[in-house]
Amino acid sequence: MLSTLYTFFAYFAIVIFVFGILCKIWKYAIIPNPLKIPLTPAPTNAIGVVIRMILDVAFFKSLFNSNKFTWLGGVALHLALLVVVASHIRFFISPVPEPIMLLQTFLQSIGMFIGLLFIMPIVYLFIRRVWVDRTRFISIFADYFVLILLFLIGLSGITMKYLIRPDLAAVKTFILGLTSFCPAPIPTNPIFITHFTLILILLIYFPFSKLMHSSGIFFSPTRNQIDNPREKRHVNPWG
Amino acid sequence: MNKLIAILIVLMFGAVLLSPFVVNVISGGKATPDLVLPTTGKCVKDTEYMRANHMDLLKKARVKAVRDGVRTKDSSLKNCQTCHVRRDEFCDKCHHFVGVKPECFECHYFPTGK
Repeated sequence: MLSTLYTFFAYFAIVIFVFGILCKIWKYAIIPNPLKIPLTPAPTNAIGVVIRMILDVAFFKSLFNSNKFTWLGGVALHLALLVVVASHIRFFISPVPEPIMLLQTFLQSIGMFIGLLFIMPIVYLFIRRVWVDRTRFISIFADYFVLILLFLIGLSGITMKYLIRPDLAAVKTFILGLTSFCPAPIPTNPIFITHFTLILILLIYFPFSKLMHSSGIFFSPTRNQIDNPREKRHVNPWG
Repeated sequence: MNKLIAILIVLMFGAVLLSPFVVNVISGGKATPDLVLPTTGKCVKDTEYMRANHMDLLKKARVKAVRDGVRTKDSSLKNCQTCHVRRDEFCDKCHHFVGVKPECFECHYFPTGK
């Protein structure tokens, strides 16, 4: 009963997540830019734009220039997210690929820290949001909701790793069942079910939230435009 | 031109997001580790507990042996071997399946049948 419910819930969430993101990207991509507004100093050729984009996406250069404290929290959180997501690949592919295995061996050797590395920046960014007057003033429910959701996901993950462990083989069987369209029963560990539910909520929420900055950044005109208004005339598509 | 790039980006994103499904449907997604289970004997704890928490027993036994010098017979790797004879037919199956690499066998001998 619970398994059937969760199987449907999971497919529902995945469909919303994938097609939601694709629709959003499509929307971002076809909306025309009426103006040439690269944030100067801006690169004057395409290669420069690519370099600028990489610096912004990988190292958050603009944020670094504007606020070092927020940058620290942001970089820590995103790096931790990357490592956490990478270490979850082992539940989706059988047999586990060698690079993931190496990462896993490394993470085992540093133990508890990766979970904390994920939780601590979230707490830090939450405190910042409440503490800094200007940030608190512009914060709405959605800003807190994402942080709390990620916090709970991290907390349930750590709980599963160190306190109330699920049967990992059953977990992987369940995930492989979902991804190969031969559904298997969901593991009964309550913490796993909580963790999984929170992830599905995150997936459903993702395309409609500020988390779309993950793909939106590539389409921001102040970052992705070439600074060549004199060399090449920019025509407003509807002007 | 812009639309073409948009189509390409959407396709690439879609391919990445859907890749686990494609991989698992094509490979058939071998869904459970096929353990060779012993037919006789009874484990020190019940199966459900052992599946999730066997490492706790081993770690506790290790701390007891190394720090306190007390060797416990119940939860020792040697005691496991009395029923689960071969590592490659039991331990390794699940460990490889979920991608964990226990440190036990870097020092301790556990027959692999090779």
